[in-house]
Amino acid sequence: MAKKYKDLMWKLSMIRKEPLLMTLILMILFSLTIFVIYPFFKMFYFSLTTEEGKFSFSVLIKTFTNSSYRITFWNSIKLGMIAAVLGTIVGYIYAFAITRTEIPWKPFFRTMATLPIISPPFVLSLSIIFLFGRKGLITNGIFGITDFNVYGLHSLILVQVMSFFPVAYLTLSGILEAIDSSVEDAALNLGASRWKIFRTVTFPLSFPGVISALLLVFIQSLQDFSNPAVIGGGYPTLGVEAYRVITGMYDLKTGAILSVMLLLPSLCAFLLQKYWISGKSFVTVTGKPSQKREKLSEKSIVVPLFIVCLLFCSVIVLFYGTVLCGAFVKVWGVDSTVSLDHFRYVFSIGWKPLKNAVMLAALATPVAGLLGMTIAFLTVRKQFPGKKYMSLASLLTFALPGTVVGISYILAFNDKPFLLTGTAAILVIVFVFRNIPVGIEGGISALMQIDPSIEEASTSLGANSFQTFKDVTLPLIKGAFFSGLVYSFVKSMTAVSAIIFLISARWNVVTTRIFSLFEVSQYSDAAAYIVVMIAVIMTAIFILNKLVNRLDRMKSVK
Amino acid sequence: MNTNIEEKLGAHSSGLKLIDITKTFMSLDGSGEFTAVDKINLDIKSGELTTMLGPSGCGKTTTLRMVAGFESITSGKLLLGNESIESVPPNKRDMAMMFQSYALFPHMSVYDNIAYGLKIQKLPSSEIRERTEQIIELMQIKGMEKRLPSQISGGQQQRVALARAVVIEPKVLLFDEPLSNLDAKLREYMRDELRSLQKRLGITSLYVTHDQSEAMAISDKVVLMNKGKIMQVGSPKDLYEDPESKFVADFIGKSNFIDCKIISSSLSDAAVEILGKTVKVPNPGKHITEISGNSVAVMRPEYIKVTEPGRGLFSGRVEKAVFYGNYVQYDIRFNSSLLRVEAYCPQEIKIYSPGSDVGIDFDLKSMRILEDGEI
Repeated sequence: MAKKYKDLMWKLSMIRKEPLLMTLILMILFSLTIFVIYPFFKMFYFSLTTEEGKFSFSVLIKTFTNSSYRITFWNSIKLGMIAAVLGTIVGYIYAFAITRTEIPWKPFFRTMATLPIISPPFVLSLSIIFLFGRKGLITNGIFGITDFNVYGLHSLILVQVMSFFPVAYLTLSGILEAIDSSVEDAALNLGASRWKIFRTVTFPLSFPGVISALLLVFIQSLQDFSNPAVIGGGYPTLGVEAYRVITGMYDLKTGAILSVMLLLPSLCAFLLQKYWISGKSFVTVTGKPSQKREKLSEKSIVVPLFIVCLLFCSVIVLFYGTVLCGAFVKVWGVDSTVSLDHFRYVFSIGWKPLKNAVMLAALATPVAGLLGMTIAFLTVRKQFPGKKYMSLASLLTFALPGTVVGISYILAFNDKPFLLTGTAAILVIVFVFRNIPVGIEGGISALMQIDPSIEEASTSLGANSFQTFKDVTLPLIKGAFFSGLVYSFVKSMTAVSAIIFLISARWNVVTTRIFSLFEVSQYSDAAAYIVVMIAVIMTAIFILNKLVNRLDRMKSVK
Repeated sequence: MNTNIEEKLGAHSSGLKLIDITKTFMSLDGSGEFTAVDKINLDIKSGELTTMLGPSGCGKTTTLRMVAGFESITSGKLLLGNESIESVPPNKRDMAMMFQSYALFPHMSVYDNIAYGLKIQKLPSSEIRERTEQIIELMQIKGMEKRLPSQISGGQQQRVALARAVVIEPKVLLFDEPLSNLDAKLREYMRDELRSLQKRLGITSLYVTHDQSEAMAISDKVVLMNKGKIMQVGSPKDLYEDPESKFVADFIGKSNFIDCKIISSSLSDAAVEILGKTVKVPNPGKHITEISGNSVAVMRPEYIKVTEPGRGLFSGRVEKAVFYGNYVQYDIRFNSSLLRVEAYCPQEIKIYSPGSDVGIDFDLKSMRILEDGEI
């Protein structure tokens, strides 16, 4: 014990020799505590006290026993499970076709799978209204049906599967790619048929990935606010209900309790995924460059898979294309003349929220990107007290539904000493702390693959931790840095669930404006907004790519 | 111009002292402790190359990393010159390390790799350029300044790594098995080059390797370690000719261990009994008077002579004979054990085939008597 203590003291003294590093660590620990941990506990505390400030379970029990809230709870769970199962099935087929077979058009399929990840919210919901709504192209325009109800569980399932299958696809393609093909070859060599190999070898090996994908899609579905909010109709879910209770009935307490009800399953799924499943993977990464393997090319396998993927992608294309058309049409389903009216609206009256969103996202992105890489670097390479706390707190934000974050921020930052509501700062802070986990995870796995002696070499040549980080580490993990930046820009631009509680008249952003356009049925204006947003996001990704690629050229000889 | 660097480097270099350096790790289950390095004492003189040699897990790399500052020192003192440096952070220790993997910065050109340490010191750019170019010339890597480390050969990477370490004029150079990634031929070549450069520059160096021939070839002083402890310190010749323990005799070179009984022991003239025969050992080694338990006689394979049966002190039977060109290696059944014998210049002597009975003679001047124990 004494030696452990001594070791700790040595590490402390080494950090103290680098006052900048110590200040940075303290600042990160402090801000994680204030902006992640404190609101989290504040919300629990708030939902467990009565109006008089006494500790009690009464409000909690009242809400839990309220039958309509109970139905809402089960609605969310049910939707999450259906979306998880269907999304994972689609994701698996997709991942298998792309990683293990010789299907044509792979680049196209990959692009289609990234589209839902980087696209603004409401796209698919808007599209389903355009297609199947009261004046829908398919329901009304083709079949002449006027009373088809587009709102409800069936639409939600369709939209969420399309939105979240990429999560399953990405998780599973990583795992399927890593399965050593020689085990399949061995099975083939022993005389098994392709189908038998899949059933007895490939699928069991990828099973931890399947569970992982199920849990991740489940979390995404639970956290989804924008789709249930606009097409949920008579199918209330927790996030939307919490929003209605707070903004419509000014009942912050019930809202908080609803968000705790939302948090618990999401947190459980997250912990299960993180600590149980990810440790169970059978896949071994040997680092040996395995031979380029022959992919499955039998027609009987490739053709059906190709047709399934193509069908699925054509639905995606149809949905996105519909929104694009909708933006250029005067009144959808009524007056089909081509018009730029909606874009005129976006660039005049609607300009401010768009400008705000771009500006806030541009402020938050470098902070989130650098913070993510810094935390990854500190947790992988440095020794300091509070390290476990730092990594746990920074990853926790991934498990917190946006609704929960939004409500807990109202509770935590509406009063002194942290009076932040109504400011731009609170929005930037939400963007930063909600979007660092992806960068951190990417940074950690990139750092794990880099020989630590490269950084030690820099240290032994006299560089302090900052110089080493700037000159050596960051350029070496720029891939992860880039994805962290892109992710946080896109998510900042497209955030709805958390900031809907935090925007103010002065600081309105584009997504919440789109949401209000839905409420007054100005669908084509919303479509124009979405088209412009997609253009902005594409441009931003392009610029970020250019900037990150310049990272390692900064140090070249003059 | 080059003499200029050499003088500067030599003047800059200073001695290094390790006093009771100890490192304990928590064992993985957290229940106990594991002592990786146990009270190491070393005195490395300025300009000297000292090698820490030992099997893997003996604590040599941990010791080197403690000296570099990458690992905490559980207890003990570290003196650079007269200055105590245990609590100086690694980037301020004025040492440079060469890594097993070279650890070149993959995203920087050869030139930028070498100039990196000087840029960190914020030297004027004219001085950076001058010193970098000087060292590039010295290392004979001119013409590849603009290439990336991945675009040059292993031997060149090695030189770049050395140049990068030397250019900052460190007080001490640390080497962590820098040659183990090269193929055998290049390794031998680079080892000689490294040694001659180190001598020319006169930089105090601490070198870690598990390869005994590498240690013998380059060191002023070899520190043989095992299980976290120093087994013996001395020149390569000392270690080979006068091992202090069975471990040292076995690790450095090849040895035959023959059970014996001490009859009389003195430093200049001892008598031992081997297989019932009493032999006089004129130079039994410094430790014969300290032996308390069983003893063994150590015979190097090249000091055993194989002769006609009936001749010689003992007799045995050849079990295996391998012709290596410059010598023949025999395995000879000797009582219950096997003797390894190397007979040099086989062109001039008779070669015995397996199965033949032979006589065996020991060159008693080279026989050493040690206490028996674990290897």
